[in-house]
Amino acid sequence: MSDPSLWRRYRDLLRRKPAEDVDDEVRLHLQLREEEALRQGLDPAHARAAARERFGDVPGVVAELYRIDESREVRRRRAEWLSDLRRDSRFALRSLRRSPSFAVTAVVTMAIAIGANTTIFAFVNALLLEPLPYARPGELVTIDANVIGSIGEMLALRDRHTGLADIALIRPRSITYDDERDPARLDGFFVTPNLTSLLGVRPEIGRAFNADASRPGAGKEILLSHSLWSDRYGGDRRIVGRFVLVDGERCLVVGVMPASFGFPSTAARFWTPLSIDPSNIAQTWAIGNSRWIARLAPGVSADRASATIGSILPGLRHLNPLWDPGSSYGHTVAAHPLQRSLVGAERTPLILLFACVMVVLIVACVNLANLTLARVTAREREFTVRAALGGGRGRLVRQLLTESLLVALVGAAAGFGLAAVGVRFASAALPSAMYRPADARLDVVVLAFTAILGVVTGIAFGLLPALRAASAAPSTDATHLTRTGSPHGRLTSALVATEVALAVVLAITAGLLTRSFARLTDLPPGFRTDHVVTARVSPPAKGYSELSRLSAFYGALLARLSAAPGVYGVGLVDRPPIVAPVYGMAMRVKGQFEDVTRGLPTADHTQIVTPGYFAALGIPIISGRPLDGGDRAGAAPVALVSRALAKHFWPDESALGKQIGYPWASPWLTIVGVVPDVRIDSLRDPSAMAVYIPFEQRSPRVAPEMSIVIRTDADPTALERQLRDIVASIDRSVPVTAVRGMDDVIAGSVAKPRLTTLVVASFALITLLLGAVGIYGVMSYVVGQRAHELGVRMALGATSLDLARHVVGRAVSVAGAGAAAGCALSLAATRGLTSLLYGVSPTDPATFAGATLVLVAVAVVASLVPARRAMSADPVEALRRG
Amino acid sequence: MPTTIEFRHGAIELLILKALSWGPQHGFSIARWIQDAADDVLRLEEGSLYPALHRMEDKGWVRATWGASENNRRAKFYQLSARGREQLVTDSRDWWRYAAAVGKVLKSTARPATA
Repeated sequence: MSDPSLWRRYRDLLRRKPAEDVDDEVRLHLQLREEEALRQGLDPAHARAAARERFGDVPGVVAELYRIDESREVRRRRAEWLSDLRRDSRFALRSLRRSPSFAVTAVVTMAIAIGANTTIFAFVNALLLEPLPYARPGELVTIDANVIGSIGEMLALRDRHTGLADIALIRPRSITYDDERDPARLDGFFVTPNLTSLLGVRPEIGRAFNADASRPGAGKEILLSHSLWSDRYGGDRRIVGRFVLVDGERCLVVGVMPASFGFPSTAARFWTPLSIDPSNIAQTWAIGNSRWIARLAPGVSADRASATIGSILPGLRHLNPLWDPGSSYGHTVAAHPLQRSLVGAERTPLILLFACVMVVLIVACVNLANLTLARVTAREREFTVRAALGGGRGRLVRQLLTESLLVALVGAAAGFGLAAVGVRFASAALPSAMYRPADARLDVVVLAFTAILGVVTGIAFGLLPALRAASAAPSTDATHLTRTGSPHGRLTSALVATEVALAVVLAITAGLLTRSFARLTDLPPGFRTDHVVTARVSPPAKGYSELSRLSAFYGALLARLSAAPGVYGVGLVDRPPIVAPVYGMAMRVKGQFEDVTRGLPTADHTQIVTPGYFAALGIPIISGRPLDGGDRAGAAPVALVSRALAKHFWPDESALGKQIGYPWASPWLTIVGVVPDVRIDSLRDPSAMAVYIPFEQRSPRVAPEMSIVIRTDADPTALERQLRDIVASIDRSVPVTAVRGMDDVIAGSVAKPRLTTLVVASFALITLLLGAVGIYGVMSYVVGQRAHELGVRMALGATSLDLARHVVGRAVSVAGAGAAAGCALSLAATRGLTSLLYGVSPTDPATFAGATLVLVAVAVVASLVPARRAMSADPVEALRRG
Repeated sequence: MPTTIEFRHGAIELLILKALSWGPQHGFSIARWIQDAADDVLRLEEGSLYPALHRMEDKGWVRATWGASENNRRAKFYQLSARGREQLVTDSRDWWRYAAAVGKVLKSTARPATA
């Protein structure tokens, strides 16, 4: 009976197939009738025919009998299965009730592990798996290329055959929005009017933009986001058709987009048509922070479209009437699926969290497998009896699996409940701007995931112990089993080593993220962050189109703020560091790159600043002079540059007195000072070639909005009130927004990595605890099993310390083997972390060593209690029993 | 000789129940008993007996066991269950009432009332 298939064959012999029975029954009838006819004197052929004739339609009847009997067989089997299930469930319930501590431990472990998995999966599902809420989302792509992002390029692409059904362009836009209430500063997007039709979405109320909305001279229009509509108007439908002031200009509200439409992210509060006027060369070919959204033509793959566009783009280099973007222009092109590119940076951390939480689940399963194994061993006598009473191996396996499935499913149900709480908490912790409303819900898909998880984990942690029990069952030699439990011990040790290996992987992941996070936050940004407050001040474009008016406004603001108590320095900057990316520009360099029709180099960042900016942020001047009041419109144009830029173009001489210029024919700017390199885009972005242009000498095309930087020891809220009062007293229509301490800005810029690190670290901690429980369990078992052997050893002169050392050594060797495997596994796995790490190699030896040490230390601690028990082994008792 | 009166649906089950009231039998002997009992007046298509038997097995009116036939061949014997016995009582009572009603009509001499 060692071969399970043998038993199955035996059972099939007893239970004949229904078809054979039917054949036998009908054959007998025909034979008997035939014999009767023969006895009446018919010849064999006629007898046979007569029998068949009296019977009627033989094949028809046989077929009908098959049908009847087979459906009866199916019913019978189903009933048998159900009654087995009922019996197994009753049995499982009874045996779990007998050991409530096991049942509770197992259910709670499963509930936590499955709950965490379900929570993370709800987000994975909502953000990565659910298709975009747009028409035929598989056809939507973004096109990334090294182009200048001008309108001219998009028009050129649209007019050529590219394999695209349609292409749209979006550009961020900040506006001062006024509707006879508080003027507000809002972030949204310029879009080409075809965006909504390209995506296949419609406004919730009102209409989308007409095709001619981007014509020069067309009436100004705006589409509101659902959030703006509900926040500002409480969902009043009458707003559609009214006029509001956008940057001081009358603008018609044409519609409100549905809540599901957060394009390209839920941070977008409005959309306005991009004005397109090919006759305006400067506007059409200006560098822009543009994104191209396209719909592939039917039957065209993203790769083919990339290839076609890639063959067109380099040719656009000479279409640019203003300057030559360089020889590498247009050479890298890729059409990415829209969803992938919208999810963008959220993708890797989400997948990482999903992987980590899966590891937690696996470790939980291994732990439960171990616990179950110990139970099975304790119940070996029971199984032996059951086997002897005729319970087959299959039945036994099924019974034990029912038990573990019951635990897993109850755990899954509880986990689903935990996930409902988890999702609510996690939603609050999530970054607010996502590419779609992060409405992670516990829907049917998530429920199915949880159910599958329940079944799979139930089998995962139950199968091994069940098989082990079944293989032990037929043996009637119970003493043999209890004396040499070593196969069990080996299996348990292997399971614990697995657990340790996985815990090491998580510990290393958490360690790497933590170290990276520490590196990131330890970085000196190059400027002061304490006692510095920034705020956006946004005069509407309409009233402030003249530079002189704007200068007067800001001049008054700076003067009054500097006089305010507790203020030590004030400056303006068009885009403050760290808050958002600060764009650079192509630039001429006198004596090196003068010809705009040839490729020009690019500065990483260009900032427009007032003289007080550097002092307010505590940025010193390394050489030359600071900007001052003399650097005004009409005076000789000047600029400051960063050390990196100076070193790049003039490695062996001073940059002072050298000249740079805009990428079009314009007076040269003389470099009068050099400042240190500071972090500008983000803490982790080291690009530092920066150009600083004095505010008074800036190009009049730049938007009037500036950020104010204030160095102060005043209370932030008091300062904010003061700032608002001063601005309002100069011009009530100018909104002040985003008042934040620079420390907060910095902390906010690393909020996502902090969240990821925290979650992974807590997963690692859970795994570590599970690992400790596992080691404790296996060592207790070993000590219990070998009480006899330990006693003998003691009788032979081993001290109790020797025994303790023996037990701890065993734990350390198991943990060590697991840790080694975990390190090897991590070497392969942590490469996926590269994009999340800053300043730490994914194979950082210190982290690997640290994680290993922690696990071995945990192993030592977890084995101390069993070791104490080993020390109290009683040689007398051992010898008496032996 | 054989006046062929076709079976009405349902009647065959009643006959089977009656045949089995003498004790367990296999299909062929049921067929033969019915023929004999009816003095060969009823023309039974023997094949139709089996689906009826199997359905009665589903309904729990009869129980089947495998055994050996007269000259030791494997045969399926049918046996009335308690429910089958009850069924025989109610079905035969219904049959008699039905037959009596039909007979009464056929023997009637009353002329229909004309409107």
